[in-house]
Amino acid sequence: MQSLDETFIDGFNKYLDSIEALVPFIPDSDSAAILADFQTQVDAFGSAVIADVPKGICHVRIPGEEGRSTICTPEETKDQGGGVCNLVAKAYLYEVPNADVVILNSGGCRVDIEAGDYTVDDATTLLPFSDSLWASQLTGAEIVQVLNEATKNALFGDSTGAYPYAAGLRYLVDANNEDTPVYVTILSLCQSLLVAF
Amino acid sequence: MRLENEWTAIDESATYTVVTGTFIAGGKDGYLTFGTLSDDKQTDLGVIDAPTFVLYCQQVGTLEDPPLDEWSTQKFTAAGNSDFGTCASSGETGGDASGSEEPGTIVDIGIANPDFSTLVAAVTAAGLVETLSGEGPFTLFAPTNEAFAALPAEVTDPLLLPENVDQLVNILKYHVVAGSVLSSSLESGDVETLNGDSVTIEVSDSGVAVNDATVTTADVIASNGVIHVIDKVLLPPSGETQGAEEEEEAEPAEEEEESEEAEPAPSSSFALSVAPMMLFTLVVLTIIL
Repeated sequence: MQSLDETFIDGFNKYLDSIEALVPFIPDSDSAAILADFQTQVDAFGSAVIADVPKGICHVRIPGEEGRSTICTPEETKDQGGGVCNLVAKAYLYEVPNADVVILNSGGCRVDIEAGDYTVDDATTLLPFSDSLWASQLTGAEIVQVLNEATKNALFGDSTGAYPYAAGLRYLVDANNEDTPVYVTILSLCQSLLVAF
Repeated sequence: MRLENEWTAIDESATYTVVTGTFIAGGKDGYLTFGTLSDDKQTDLGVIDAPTFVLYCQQVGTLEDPPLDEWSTQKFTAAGNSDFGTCASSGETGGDASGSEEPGTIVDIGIANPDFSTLVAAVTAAGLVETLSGEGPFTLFAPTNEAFAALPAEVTDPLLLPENVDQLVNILKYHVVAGSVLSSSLESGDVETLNGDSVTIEVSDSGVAVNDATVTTADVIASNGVIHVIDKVLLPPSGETQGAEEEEEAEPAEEEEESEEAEPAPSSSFALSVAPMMLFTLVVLTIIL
């Protein structure tokens, strides 16, 4: 990135002043006090510890991806990818009774889960998009199809974040097979990774 | 609190309830099939992803890698990687040591796919399950059920007779080559099979042919080798008149069970069971706040 030289900045500021388009903003102290009260509560909520993480859990999109996880080396993720999206998928399967399977795009999970205290802020950093959870009715054939579509987009398209993670589904992926990278043959279903409430 | 962890083959025609986020539920990021579903097949559960994960964290208390045998990607093969001699399971990325698992053997993969039920039945009848579950590595040219069905009855019927089991073994071994050979490393020429006879491989722009059969799906990777799916049963030169086997009686009984187990719960009960969960989410979030 190129830094702007000072002569340019000076000139630009003079231009902005000349058009009077910008109004100096002075914080309103009453509003600030009200906001501060909420901010304290938001901070307290965000820093609440919700779980213990004994050992760091890695996040990568495509298995073996370089430069994403700060915990795992590419060598460690090359066979099965990262644990984070697997765990998030498992969590949704746990929380949604009668879901048969969960499918997530790896771009939906953002970061490693570091060892130590896990807070609400950590969870919202991991899952920042405020996506609603949806239940879709798909046939087995459609599940196979959508996994192949997503994997193709991740491996041969332009979105590494499309690489699919799931709970209740297991598959083999071969990046040498552009037509059907996800093998239907061993796609399995876990019927009962569910809990009773 | 997992009740059980039983894996079965997916049933292509059964309907499953798939939970996902708004983004891909709408068909984004290449998940095109989700985008084609009619409105009555998709329900917004009304809960948000991060709070749901927060709830999970609070309920389980400890976050860990799921056991490796639960991970969705059981084995990823990078582009250009042809080293399948040993299909090692993932290195220690954490997780439960007891949970690590390789992809299934050639036999496991055959069993998991209903398209190979005749082949599996034949392999079972021929007593070759142990061999093909062994260390290998092997390359199996696997005829589909359709390929077996295309054989005339005069070829298949004699093979059902117990006294002809040697012929059955002979034919099945004619489909197996020692070593793990990916389609990308296949070259035109004759290759010796486990029965001693050779098959003729022909690699062309249009694909790979084995004798007069065509490879329809290549490189299905197993823990002890690789499977190439073919559309015709290969008959060894010495066994032209005897042929292969037939399904019917030999059909493995577990196939029926599998598809029954794979039947999802009726979706009508879905909304009923989700509602308490949402309420629970709300209550918990209220407590946090």
